[in-house]
Formats: sequence, structure tokens, C-alpha cells
Amino acid sequence: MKLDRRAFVKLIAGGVGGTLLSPLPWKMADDTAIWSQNWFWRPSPERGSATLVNTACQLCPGGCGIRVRLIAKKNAVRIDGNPNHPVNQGGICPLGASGLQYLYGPSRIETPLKQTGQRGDVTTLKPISWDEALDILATKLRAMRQKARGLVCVSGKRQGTVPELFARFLHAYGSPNYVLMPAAADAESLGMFFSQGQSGLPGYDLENAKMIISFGSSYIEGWGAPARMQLAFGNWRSNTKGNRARIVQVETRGSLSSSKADDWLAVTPGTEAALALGLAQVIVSEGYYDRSFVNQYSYGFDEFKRLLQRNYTPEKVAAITGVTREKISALAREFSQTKPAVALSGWGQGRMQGSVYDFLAVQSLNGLVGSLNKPGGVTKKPSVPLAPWPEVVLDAISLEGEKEPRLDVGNEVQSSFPTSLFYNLVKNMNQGKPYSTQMLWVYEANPAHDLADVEPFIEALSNIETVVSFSSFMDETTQLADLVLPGPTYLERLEDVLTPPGLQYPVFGLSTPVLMPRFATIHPGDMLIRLAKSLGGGVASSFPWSDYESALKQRVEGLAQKASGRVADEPGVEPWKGGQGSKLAPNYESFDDLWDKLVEYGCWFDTSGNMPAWDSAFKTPSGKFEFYSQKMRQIGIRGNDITYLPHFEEVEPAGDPGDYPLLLMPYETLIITNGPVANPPFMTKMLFDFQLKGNDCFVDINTKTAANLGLKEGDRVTVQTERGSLEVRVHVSGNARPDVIFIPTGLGHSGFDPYIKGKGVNANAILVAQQDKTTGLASWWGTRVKIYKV
Amino acid sequence: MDSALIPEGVKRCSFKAFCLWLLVIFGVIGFGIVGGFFVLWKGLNVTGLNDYFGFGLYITADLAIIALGAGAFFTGFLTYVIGKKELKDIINLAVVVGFICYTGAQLVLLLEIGQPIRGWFSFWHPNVHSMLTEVIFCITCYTIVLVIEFLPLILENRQLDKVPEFHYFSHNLHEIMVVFAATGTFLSFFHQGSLGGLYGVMFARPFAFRTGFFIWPWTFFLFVASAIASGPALTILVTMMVQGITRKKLVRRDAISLLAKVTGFLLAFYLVFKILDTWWWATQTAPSKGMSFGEFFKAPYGMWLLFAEIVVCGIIPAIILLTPKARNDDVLLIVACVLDCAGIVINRFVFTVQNLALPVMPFDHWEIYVPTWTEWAPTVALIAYGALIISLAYRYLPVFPRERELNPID
Amino acid sequence: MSGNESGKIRYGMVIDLDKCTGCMTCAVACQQENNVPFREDETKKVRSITWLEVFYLDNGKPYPEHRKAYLPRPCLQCDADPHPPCTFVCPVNATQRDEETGLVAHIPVRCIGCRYCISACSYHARYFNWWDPKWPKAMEEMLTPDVSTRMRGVVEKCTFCVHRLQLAKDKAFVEGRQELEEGEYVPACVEACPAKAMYFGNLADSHSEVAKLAKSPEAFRLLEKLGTEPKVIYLSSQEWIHKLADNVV
Repeated sequence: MKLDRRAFVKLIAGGVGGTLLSPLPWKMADDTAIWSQNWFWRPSPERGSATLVNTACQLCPGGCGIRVRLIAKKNAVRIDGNPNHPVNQGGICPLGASGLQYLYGPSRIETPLKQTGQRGDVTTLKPISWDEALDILATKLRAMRQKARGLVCVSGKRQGTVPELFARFLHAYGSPNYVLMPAAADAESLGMFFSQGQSGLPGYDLENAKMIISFGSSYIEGWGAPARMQLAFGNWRSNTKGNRARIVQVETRGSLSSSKADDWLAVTPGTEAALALGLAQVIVSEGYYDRSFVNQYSYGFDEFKRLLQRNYTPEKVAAITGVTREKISALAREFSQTKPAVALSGWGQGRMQGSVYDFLAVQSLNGLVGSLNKPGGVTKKPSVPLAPWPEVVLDAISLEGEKEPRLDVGNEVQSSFPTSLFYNLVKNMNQGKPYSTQMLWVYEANPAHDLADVEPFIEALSNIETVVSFSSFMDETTQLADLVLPGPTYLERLEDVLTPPGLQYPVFGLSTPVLMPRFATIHPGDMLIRLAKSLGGGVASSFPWSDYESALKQRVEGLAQKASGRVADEPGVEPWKGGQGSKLAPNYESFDDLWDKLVEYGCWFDTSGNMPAWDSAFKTPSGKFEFYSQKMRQIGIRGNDITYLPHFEEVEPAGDPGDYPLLLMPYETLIITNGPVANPPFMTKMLFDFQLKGNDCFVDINTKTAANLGLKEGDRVTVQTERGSLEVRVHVSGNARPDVIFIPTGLGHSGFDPYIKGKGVNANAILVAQQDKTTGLASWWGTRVKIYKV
Repeated sequence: MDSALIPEGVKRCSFKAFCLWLLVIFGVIGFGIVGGFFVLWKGLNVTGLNDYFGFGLYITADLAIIALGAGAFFTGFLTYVIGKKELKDIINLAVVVGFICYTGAQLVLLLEIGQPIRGWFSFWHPNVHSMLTEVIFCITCYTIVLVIEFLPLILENRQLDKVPEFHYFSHNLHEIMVVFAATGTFLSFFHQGSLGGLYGVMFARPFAFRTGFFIWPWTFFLFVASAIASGPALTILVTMMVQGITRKKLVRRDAISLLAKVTGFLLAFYLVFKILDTWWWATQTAPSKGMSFGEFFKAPYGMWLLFAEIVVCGIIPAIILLTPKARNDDVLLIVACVLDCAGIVINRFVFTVQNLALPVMPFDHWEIYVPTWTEWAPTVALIAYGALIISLAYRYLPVFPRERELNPID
Repeated sequence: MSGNESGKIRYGMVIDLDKCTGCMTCAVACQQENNVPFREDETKKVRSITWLEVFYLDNGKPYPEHRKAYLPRPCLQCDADPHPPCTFVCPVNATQRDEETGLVAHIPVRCIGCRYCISACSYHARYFNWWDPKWPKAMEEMLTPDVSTRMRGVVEKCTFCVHRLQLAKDKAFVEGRQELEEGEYVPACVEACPAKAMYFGNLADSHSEVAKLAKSPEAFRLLEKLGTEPKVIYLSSQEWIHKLADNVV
């Protein structure tokens, strides 16, 4: 065959042309293109119509209203803020936005579990049926009824009907030991008791304040109600509305709260209260104080003034705090002349109890500038007008139980405190004094991880026969439990969510199940009712309801009866602008109407009458705000005059300065939650790589201190206190004060899922909690430490 | 054993020795295949690449070998279009080297993209604004051209040539080779340029960005110039290497010297513009983007890279190649060619890696790129692949037309 | 949007860094809204997909003059003429700016994973899927159907939640409206911000809040000198933050 050039070209051209003209290659290419875009093993989210369900967040006490987006009425795909809700107004915090990762998370507990082997061994926690689980519990409770006081319940939740049912159960059963996890609220409540004669917590009218001094409060990093604080901060910083407020942060660490303030006073660790008293001194001595308040509504001003003049002159306070005299004087003048102005207290996020005197010092400062019980100031957080339940039916044993000493009481005077003293409980459980603990219940708390100075608590567990966890997640405490009775998560259950910490108006949030419980869990409220009924007698009579819902509804009747307040059915409410004293007309007609609307909108609130009338504001012996606390004297606290006045008590951090030359201070951030749940993957992902790298977490160390110690960024070090040591890496930072090591809390989980387990270390393990002898309140802002390269 | 396949009248090593040599090569290639397989199977997470370094060793290697492969088109251009007949000695080798570089680059490119099965989307959904589209089109077309240029040589194999269809086909191709050489030159010119354009158009990357002429940033022209200034150097190097290994004279020295001289001129030409460009970049372009020249260099990607690229691997080889006495010295010639090639590799490296290491946002930070074995293995295998093709071609094809004449068998 | 004299739409965002508390809710909301995958270890930041990344800024001074701020960075949706830095480099038309809205979209199923766009973006706003995304089985139920999950080997980035624009348009269409009201289409990050530090709207509409804020003397954009024309504008009263917005020779 002879192929000339022409034929050659023809052959090629003809072949190519013919193929290209046919649809074959094009169709095939297109199909291949489409095929190559598939990737069949990636998940394909289910489609369906979307609905929004309003409910309340319960991941922290912040009380936000949330909206859950459901697909096909069953898959929850998003949580965002409820725009109608007065507290968060559509905003949300990172934890709230991560809520679905708990609902669907791998650390959910699906059934009741019973420890069949060694306590602490997760592999021998075996699933059992609910009947068996509740039977085991009921049998044990029946058996120990004669020693009812041996039942202790630890609740991480401080308010609401479910904690109340737990308290009620213990009361009816005959144990006085319903104990709350520690918090700044303990000191606040005690401080309110001492200075205002009534238990309760402060509510701050922050939205109306023009100047804010925060004494160590992480005001935008989790203090109070986090989302509300963010919203308030945004308003303070609002240029357009012409109401840019001035913020002063008093804090040792260069936190975001410090950086975002207009002024940051980097005080010597633990001296915030001294600065408050220093400001008070200038205000008093220069006569800038609010005379009408001091003259009409305060008691003991002269004694207070004398103390201030003697101990808290700018010179002395400058020496204590490290803030210059000039700065103290200037700030005092500014604070007293800006109206309204308010001072905040509660260290960090408010997880540390702290000293009652710190609270009193700040509260007195508020009093001096006339910010107590005034708009833009601080008042007693109003309570939600819920209807009471019938009285607890006491039988012979529970009557006896009422007289038993509380395990969280350390001395005579403490028994009249309106507050829990958790560290006394730990000590007494450990020593088995004045009596031993048979059974421990843990509800909405994870003390085995979250408790500062955690070791003594874990040791105490070994003296306790039965540990019962009500957790929905495999947390560290649950790992140590003998019996696990998992409740549904907050998105699967009905519950009330009451006014969050620090809020100035009452809010009743209703958490409703947005979808069917994913597992066979039982609502703790229903569990208690069922348990009570099976125990019979007074306990059963104290729980007359058929289920939790009817118990809750009974309390909500109170809202229906009140002729003020409304269901949050429209966006844009600004409750802090609510007319003082005027009534807010309800937008519901009957209880049923109210309930339906609560279920639909998720929230009731009231803005009227939140500042109590002056004649009923203080329940002290003098009927006034007491700078000099007669209440303390009344309940038998002994001491000199200073004891009854706000003052600064220098606390020497634990540890010998010779062995432990530096100071270790824990810090909290909004992006690492401090329990009872562990950080969700969404949030952990956002940690900077100088906070967490691989499984290593970082401590912040000052640039100069690091240089002195020969440490470089990223060096692996051991931080050691007298409690123990942890291995971390160092982040050299200008945020850190010289000679102070800052360690984040909330990491170092050994429970939960692979997304958080083993990441970082648990700072709580090496902190030393120091208890105040008189009040039993504990502080752990600083522990002496040494640090050396691994 | 394979003597029937070996061209007539030339001497080759024993089949056994050859097999042993191939075994070594296959070992390296096998290593590369394992690495490549890992990347395809596990995904690019097994590499040292990340969101900072979207481009890394693969792209550096690709760009470098494509630049070095320019020897093919440029020698072809000189031989067929300009008509430098003495280069016919070397043109076959130049084509083989070009073929290796381009096919090798495409193989590595397949690993480099995250979705290899969608690799052809740039033909199916092309974006005409993208320099990369231009590159992919030109490289593919040019690879086809190289195959066509390589084909007659393959068909000249002693046994294949016996098939009349092959013989005529080969003959016909030879006849129209000038068309392909011209096409190749055109395509090559554009994609070498586009590869430079690839970087020069990144206007949000102050290290890479260059002003330019019409739609083409200066890097477009610089990349063309640098490619033709280094491609022939590689051709010379390979020739010298083959001559060294076979201990034979395969190409007349004047052909090599001519190529070396041309390379020297081109390198000098390129350097003038490169230095001008660097000066303009340092004093005008960078400041216009808010950055100072000094900010572009930080350990390990320090100023030494610039010095190495322009002085050590630029000016020095240019001087050698432009000095007749020096370029006629084999050792100096090799040194110059090696430096020339290294300079181009550095150039492509800084544009690929240093460019991306640089923090553009002031609160950003430098990153350092460390390739993993899965990146090294295919890259090294690329060289082995070259050795394989050259070995096979040399053994079985009449790559060097003058071989018989220069090495008469007694 | 209504009230826009030119009829042009340029969706943009204003982030007030004075109001920003660094809580990172925006970043979490974004991950949730867009099915952004997560792995057990996300600490290797150069391989961690965060459509909205939060950068850490500080004034570089020692304690106690040290100040820090967090800077949330969605995709800046560059409005450079005629192309943003990232789109025109794509060889397969997988990423384009919709000139009707100014939104820069990326189609992962079209993407071949060449990462040219990643290299072209100086804001690190683009992310590569180094791994196949994987969720614990139960968590697949919380994936939203509005945004399809991606596969390994492709690039992804912030889209200003463009699916929300589609939903808003659909809703308007059903209600017989041609134009969207301000606030009808808002990305997830803006909606979630608890401090109300983020604003979203049509920059081309001089009556819109974002357009007004963008004219503030406190406004700045990142790396202005590059000529990328970002449609994300930051506000800050802090001089040191303004200094960190661009390189100064």
C-alpha cells in the first residue's frame, strides 16, 4: 500500500472530523463531567421544608432565647438567637450556636448505665433498663432512709423548677444536703444578706449606664449573661446613638475585657477590692458622694469613712494595687461625676466564689455614687413571680433531717448563711464528719473536672457508696459514677429558664422540646416524681404531680395571675427602657393563652417596677443599706469594727515563695466553655494555635519573665504548684504581667469525645482553693508556682 | 539479545548491563509511583502543602522542567526555522528531552490537582481569562507536537522502519517537520510566557505581581526569556552527560559550542531585563503595594536566594558562556550550564514558594514550606523517567545522526 | 434593594471592631450554616477550614500598654475591576463574581483543586479540602440541606451565605415583590453577632446603613493598596488597628 501525502492528510482529517461531528464524544464528555462531580461517600443532607422553633438555651445560666431551625420537622440544623427575646435580641454566644453539637454529639449517653466493675472504668459501665435503674436507686434510697442525711445532691444549676424539685426531694426525703456548685453568686448572695439584709443577687442596669468600672469581671468574656453583656457592650460602643459609654477594666491580665475597655488598670493580683476602696476614699474625702443616698438610705457611713481615711488613702492604695495616686484620684472623680455609673464585681466569669468583702467594697462604691437601686445602677435582681408549690409534706424522718447540720456548713455562723459553701462539703465528705455520705447525686455539674482544686473532691468520692449522675454526656464525674440516669438534652426537654445573673428585670424563658428525644432518656423532673412515688409516704405526698409538666405549669400560673409582663412576641424590645413603675400590659388573656404563647415564643418578661421602692429595698436592722453590717453582728460573726465594714483582706497565695517564685492565675475565655459540658468542636476549632497546638495547651508568660527564665515561644514546660504539676507550652505575650503565669481553664478533659478529650490540661488540678475562715467562701485567683523546661 | 533492535553500525553496552541500569531506574520510578499512589489514594494531605502553600514542590518542579524543556522548541526553532543546520546533530536529543519534560510535567500535574479525575475540566469549562487555562491548553498542544516530533525518530527504529506504513508515515512527518517546529515555537512561547503570567497577574501578591505590557505582566516575557536561556543549557548538559556515560563523541563540538554561545547571549539578554525588572519591582511595584523590598526576604527565604539566582546562577554562567575560550572548555561549559539551570530552578522556586511564604497582611506571619517524601518521590522519579527515556532512545533509536560517523566501528 | 438610584447591587459588610468583643460567635455560626467540616485536631491552622477566620491583632507594646483585638475575616468579596484576584485565575470557571450582586461564588463540584485561587488571595480567605469531610454519624443529621457538603481535593470559601439570598428572593417572589428590603438577606455571621458589631447590605445604595458606615472616618479596608477593593469594611477608633490594616513602606 502506498500512502501519499494527500491520502495521509485526508485520512487524519476525515477520521478526526467524523468523530467530532458525531454526538458521541460530546455526550460522553458531558456525562463524564457530571459523573466526576459526584463523590458518593460524602454525606448528603436530607431535604425538607424548614421550620423555626423558639426555645431557651440552657448551656449556661445566661438565659438566651434561641431559635432552632428544623428540616422536615426532625433534623435540627441550626441554632440562632431569638430576635424577640429581650436578653439576647437575636444575638447568641459561640456556645449557644454550637448547641446542636451536643444534641448530636458522640458523647451522649443513650441509656441508663450501671457500673459493673471498678468505679472509673468506663468499659464496665453497662447499659441497663430504666426500670432496673430506677429500681436500684429506689431500693438504695429505701434502705438508707434512716440515714437520710447521707444523701447529698450537687447541682450546677442554681435556679429553676428542676433544681427546686431536687431540693424538694432531699427536703422530703430528710437530707439537708442540697448543695450548689461554687460561684461568685455565693459571695454576692452573702454580701446582699450582710449589706441589704436579704438574700438575693445583684441586677445591673447596664444598658443605661454611662460609665462602668469592672473590678476583675470578664464583662465580655462570660461574666453575667454572656450574650446580654455582648449586646450591652455593643450599645456602649454605639457611636450612632451618641451614647458611647466609658468602660474601665480593673484586671491583672490583659484580657479582651481589658483591651476593649477605654482604660485598663493592670492591678497587682488580687487587689481589685483595694482599688474600689481607694476610689471610695477619694469620693468621700473630696465630697463627691451622693449625699441624699448616704444620708437617707445608708447606715454606718461615718465608720466606713473613718476606715477609708485611715487605710485607703490614694498613697496606700497605690502601694497595694500598683495604680498611681493620680490615676486613682482622677478615676474617682470621673466615676462620681458621670451619671449613671456602675461598678461590677465578681472575678472572671463568676465561677469563683471570692471574698464577700470584695463584693461589699464594690457595692459600697456603688452606694457612694448613688447608683444603688437607681436606673443605670445596681439593684436586687427581681424575682420571677411564679406561683408556689404546696408545702413539702414532712414525715418523722424528714422533720429530723431539717435539724441535721448541713455538710456544707463549717461553723456556727455559716448555718444562717443563705448560700451553699461547696468547699466545706468537700472537706466534710472527705473526713466523714459530722457524718458520712452514702449517696451523691450530681445534676448539671461536672465537679470532677470543673471544680478548682479538684483533687480533694475526687478523693472524697472514694468514701461514698453510690455516686449517681444525671448527666446526658460522658463527663468526668459521670465516668466516676456507679449509676447513670441520663436526662434528655435541653433541646429535647421542657424546662423553665429564669432571669440570668446580673439582669435588672425578670425573665421567664421556656425551653420546649424542639424534637423527639434521640434516646430513651427520662426528664430528671419526671424521674424524681417517679422515684418519690415509689418511695411512698411523705416523699410521695410531696410530689403530687403526675408529671413534670404539670408541676411546671403549676408555678407558671403565677405569671398568668400577675397583671404585668408580656410574652416576647415581637422583635426590638428594649426592656431597659421600660417605664419605671408603670405596668406592662400583658399580651395574654388566660393561663392557657399564656402557656400557648410561651411555647410559641419561648419567653415572658416584665419591665415594670424593677427598682424596689426605697422603703422596701433594704431588710437590714436599720432598714437602710448598711456600710456597717449589723446583720453580720446579729448572726454572730465576731471581730473588730473592720470585720463589719467593707475592707480589703490581703490573701497570701498558697505556696512557699522560695520554692514557687511565680504566681499562677487561671483565666477564662468565652471560646473555651467551663462546663458542665466540654468544648464543642465548632469552638475548639477557633482556638488560636498559641492557645492549643495538637494536644498541648499554652500558658501566657510575660516577655521579660520568659527572657529571665530562658524560655522561648512554644517551649514545653512544667508548671508546678504545691498541688501538683502539669505539662504545657509557653506563649510569650504582652498580655501577661511579669512574674505571673496565666493558664486557661476548661481544657484537659478525660471524658467526652475525641474532639476534646486529651486536649490541653485541666488547670483546676493544680490550683489551690483558699477558704475564708469566717465565711467559708473560697478563692483561687492565684497559686504560687514554679515553671521549668521539660 | 536485543541486538536486532539496536541501530545498525553502532555499539551499545551488553543487554545485561543495560537491564541492570534499567533496574536502578525502575527502582527510583517505582518509589515515585508509590509516592504518587499515596497522594492519589490518601489525598494531598500527605504532602507538605497547605492553605498557605497552595503551590509547592510539584509546581516548582513542573515549572522548572517546563522551562528547561524549552531547549526542544528553541533548538527546533534554530534548526528548522532559522536553519542552523549544524544543530541537526543535537535536535533529536533536544526533542527527546522536551518530550520528557512535558510529559513528566503533566504526570506530576495530575498529582498536584486535588481532583485528578476532573483534570480535563479546563478544556470542558475553560476560563479564557486564566493564565492557567492558556498554560494547560498550550502545554497539552505542545506535548502533542512533541509526540509528533518524537514519532519519526521512534519509527526510525530498525525493526519498525521495516514496516512500510511506518516508513512512509515517518517520511511524511519529516517532510512537514518545519510546520511542527514553528507551531511548537509559537505554543511554547505562549505557555512559557503564561507560566510567568500566572504569577505576574496575582495583583494581591506583592511578591509576584508585576506591571506589564498590555495584558501581559513583565514576568510573561521574563519567563520566556529565562526558559530559552536555560533550556538549551539543559540540552547541552544532557548531551555532555550522554557523551560522558557512553564515553563517545556523539555530537560535533561546534554544534555544542554554537548552542552554548546562543545560550550565553540569551542568558545575558535575559539578565539585563531580569535586573531591570528586579530594580523596578523593588523601587516601584513593591512600594505601590505597600511593601518594602526588604520585607520580601526572611529566613530561610533570605536575600541569598536573590543573590544566588542573579549573580551566582546568572551573571557567572553568562560570562562563561559568552567567553569563547571558557565555553570551549568542557568543564567550564558544564559548570556554566549547571548554574544556568540551577538559576532557573531558583527563579521558579521563589515565585512559587517564597511568594506564598510572605505574609501580606501586617498581622500575618511567615510560614515555611517543607515538602514530604510523597512530593520528593515523584519529583525524583521525574528525573529517573528522563533517564529511562533517554536510555531507551539512545539504545534503540538513531538519536545522534552523527554517531556512526564520529564513532566508526572497526 | 430599594432606594438605590443606580439600581446597582453591591452586597457588602461592615464590621465594627470597636463593638467586636472577640467572642467568635460569627465563626461558629458560619461553620454551622455552611456545613464546614471539622476534624479531631484543628490546630494546624494552615489546614483548618474557617470560612470566617478570626485574626489576632495586637499593638506590639509590652505589659501593661499591650492591647489586642480580634479581627473577623469573611471572604472580602473583592470588587476589583474587572476581576477579584481569585476568580480570573481559575482555569475552569469554578469561581466567578456575580456582577448582579457583587458576590464572589465558588462552585466546589466544578473545582479541580489546582489551588491557584488560594495562592492568588492575600487574605487567606480560601481553603482547600485536604481531607474528605467526615462527621460522626449522628452529626450528619445537623447538616443543612441549603449548602451541599464538599469533597476532598476542592477549594471552598465564604459565599456571604449566598443561599440565603436565594431563599430571600424566593420569598419575595412568592409575595410578588421584585426587590428585597434591607435586612431580608443577611449572612449567618451578621445575624448571630451578639454585640451587633456586623452590618450587611448594599454598598451601592447610598441610603443603606453599610454605605453610610463605610463613609465613616473610622472606616478602613484591609490592604487597600493592593487594589483588591474589598467589600468588607472595618471600623475602628484605634489608631494602632488602622496601622495594621495595610503595609506601610
